[in-house]
Amino acid sequence: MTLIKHVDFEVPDFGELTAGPATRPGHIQAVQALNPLAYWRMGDAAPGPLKDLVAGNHATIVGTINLQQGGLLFGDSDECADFAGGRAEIGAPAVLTGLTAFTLGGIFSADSLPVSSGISMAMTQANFSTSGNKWTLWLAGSDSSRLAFTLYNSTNTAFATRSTFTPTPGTIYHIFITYDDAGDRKCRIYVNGAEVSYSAQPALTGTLKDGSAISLCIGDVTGFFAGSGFVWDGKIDEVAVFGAALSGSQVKSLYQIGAGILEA
Amino acid sequence: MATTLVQSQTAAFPDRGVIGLRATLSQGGGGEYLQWDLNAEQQVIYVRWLMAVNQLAGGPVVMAAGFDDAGTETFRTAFDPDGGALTVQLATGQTLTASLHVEFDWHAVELGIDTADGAATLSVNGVQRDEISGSLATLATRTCWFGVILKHTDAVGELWLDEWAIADGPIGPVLVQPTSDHADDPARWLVIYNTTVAESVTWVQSYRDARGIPYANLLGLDLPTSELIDAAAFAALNDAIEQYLANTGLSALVMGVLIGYRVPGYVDFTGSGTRYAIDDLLHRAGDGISVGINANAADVLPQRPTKSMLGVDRLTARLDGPDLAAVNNLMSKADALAAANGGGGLDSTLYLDPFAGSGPLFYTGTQNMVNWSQSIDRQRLRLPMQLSGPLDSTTPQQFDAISDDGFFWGWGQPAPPSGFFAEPAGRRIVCAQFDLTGPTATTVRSTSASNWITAPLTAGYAAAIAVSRTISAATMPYARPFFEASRNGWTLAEAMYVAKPLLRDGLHLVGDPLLRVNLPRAGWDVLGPLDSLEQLDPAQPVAALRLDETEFAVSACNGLFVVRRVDEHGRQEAGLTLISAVNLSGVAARPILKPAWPPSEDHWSPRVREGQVELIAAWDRSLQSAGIQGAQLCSEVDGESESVLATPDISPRARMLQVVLAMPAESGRYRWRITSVDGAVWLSPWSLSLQPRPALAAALQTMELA
Repeated sequence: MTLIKHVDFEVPDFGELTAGPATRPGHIQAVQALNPLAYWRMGDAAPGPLKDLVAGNHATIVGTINLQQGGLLFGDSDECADFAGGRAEIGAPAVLTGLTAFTLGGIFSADSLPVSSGISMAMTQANFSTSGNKWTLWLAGSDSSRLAFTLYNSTNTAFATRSTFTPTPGTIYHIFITYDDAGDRKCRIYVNGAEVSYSAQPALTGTLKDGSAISLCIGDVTGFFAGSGFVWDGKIDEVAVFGAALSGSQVKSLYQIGAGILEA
Repeated sequence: MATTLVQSQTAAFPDRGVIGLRATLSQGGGGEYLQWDLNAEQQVIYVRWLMAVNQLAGGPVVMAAGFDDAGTETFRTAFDPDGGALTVQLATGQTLTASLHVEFDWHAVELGIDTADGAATLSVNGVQRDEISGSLATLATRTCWFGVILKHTDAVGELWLDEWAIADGPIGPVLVQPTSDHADDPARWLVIYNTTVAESVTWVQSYRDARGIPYANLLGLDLPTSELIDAAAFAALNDAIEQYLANTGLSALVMGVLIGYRVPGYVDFTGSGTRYAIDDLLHRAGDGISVGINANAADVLPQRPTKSMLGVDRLTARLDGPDLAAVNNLMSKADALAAANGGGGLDSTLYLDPFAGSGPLFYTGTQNMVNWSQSIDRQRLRLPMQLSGPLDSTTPQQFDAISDDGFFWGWGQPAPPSGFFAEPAGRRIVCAQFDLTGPTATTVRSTSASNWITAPLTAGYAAAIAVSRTISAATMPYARPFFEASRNGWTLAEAMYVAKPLLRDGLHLVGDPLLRVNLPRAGWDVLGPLDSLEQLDPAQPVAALRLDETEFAVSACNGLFVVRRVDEHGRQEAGLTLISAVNLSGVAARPILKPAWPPSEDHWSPRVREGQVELIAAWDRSLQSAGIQGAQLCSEVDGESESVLATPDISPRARMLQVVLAMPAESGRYRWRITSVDGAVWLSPWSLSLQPRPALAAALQTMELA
């Protein structure tokens, strides 16, 4: 055995050791510091609702969701929701209406991936009618279960941003999507603080759908595809929506804190 | 800021150094920590640190983490005070877990990751608690963090960290090098405790605190809670001990093994009901159980054992009892015995069964006991002794009851008779019973009055020695080295070891092995007979008396006997200002009562008044009460031999002898020679030499006074 380093702390000022990165706030504080429009910690007890800490856009439990399961956020005893065919639904969340820039996401862990003909809806604000779609965050079985985000304009044209990233079942991921009308009008997908690569990343044209009167659903969909089995099989935790497109460094910071990794 | 991290003496790991890392946590998120860059990813990495977590509450804290070249986390280690779980999360998704006992102050935590072999281990206090295997290639680590890296927002309190080490192989707990060659050094002992019993953990922490056992010398194992185990369980226990000693390097340092509270104490190898005491079996390293000869035992006090003398032998003892309070009481008794100043005031009797035996019942051990009980070595214990029968008895004679008892050393009684430990009790130290007919103690966890360990310990002894199975006559321990070692300040375990002719012989010792019996050393040594003081050999007294003894018997020899006071450190008075006695042909003589004046240990000044010299010897009682029969005032004038100047009459009611002499013409000195009614003689120290006053000066003085 060769001792590579031994520190007995007898030397003042930690000797040759480097102080770690500056102290950072915890995940909750970090989310709240970014002024979210909605923040569901997903740890509420049955029968719900899953409470929004910001504006009271609480989510109603529909179908089967196992609540208060082991949380995905490190160092936090708050639990999460384990989706098994049900959805958490926030009806007509006015606070999310009329946005021209936003960020949404949370912490996800899939127990299984969709079959080749299937879809897993992580989060949606769409009813898949001709006028009721704003966005969906999903895995397409037909596309190797790669993570995708579809955004709609006011004429219901879909702009599907397709990543090359396929999650591994049982693994925890911090997933965030950003969009800004005033920017290049492209959606960006971040996994674990880093932007993914894309097989398609179209710029949105037209007017971004405002999303009024469209329910926001977590874990499953409402409307046309309700009951089709397009469900998320696994845990979802710490879901938040922001009224601005967070920068890449902001997303990375959220991930690092939420995953228990402090930025070096 | 929810965490502050500072260097502090408060947080120092007590076994090494004086400064540690003190993290103070308050409500909220965030942490402070240190990092070390290894400059390259390590395929094999071991990280070890010491931490005290018993002041944490509220939520988990991550105190150690690693990252690869890309800054991706490879591992993180968290402790949750709610339940005591220590968890290592690996980047592979696997976890290693262990449970920490908050009853224990400091824990040595060691994480090992070997990406080449695909194995990761988590050890706590030198014992591997979890392991995983698989493809661990992603765990190659370059940067290590240490401190409070993350915390639950509700985590509050203090986390103390120290001795952070990173290596390419197992590191192990922090060893403490012994400072003594002998087993009186706490670092020479390995203490076993049972991690499945919370009270056992509590006990070992208190024993460590009381005796200074290094943390690395405390071995916690998940053991059965029963006092009796089978062969397989013993083999597992024995293997764990051997492995720990070998893996930590303690095998080169440790001389003794203590079986602690709620650790199994007996083995039934075959289910026959025969109980082998585990502490006895551990006398010798290895998994054998056969009785072996102790090369370091002898009927005279041998050299004090060292590690090199022991070889594969070990000293052993057991500390267990009906409950934790009873065991703590044994430790308190050991403290009290050690704290007694020089044994002064020890008011205890030594009880011996000196049965000499005959024919097949004649045992070397009992004859050794008889020899010793008649010897000066026995007397030098300066304890009153009680024998159960004549020294030449060939018929067993045992005590029905003992009182004022400090030591009991006997044999032949399967169980203490009812009321055996009578009141009043002396300072009860060690009770030993070596019955040859069968086991006298097969449990120590009861309060049975018929058990030669539980009964004496309940009665107030600090330690007890008994047999757990039928023993042979050859097993009888030697009394002489046991008591001589105790008198010389050896520990109880050392004394017992050198007294045992055989190891793994069926005897076991229950009590604090580090107990030191502070026997009384102050008293009188009798030296002689002498024709002259030049023959005096201080190292060869013919009798050793206690302070309260005023008589001693010397057999049929005439001559000068010198009685010297022995102080509490066992040192004889020096010089000639001594009590002396003359043997009266077998008649007991007692030391003379010295006068209050002149002093017995220094020169003194005669009183000069009006041209005369006044010489006085005064007692605090009448001369009759003091036993004074005669007195002579002697002088020694320069160039001449000592002569008797005066022989004052002895007035029985007087307290003082007085002689007034004319001022001498030449310089000289004086001393008293006092004789007692027993024939003892005391010579006072010489006075200061008195110088003759010139005639003119005397005349001037007279004029001035006028």
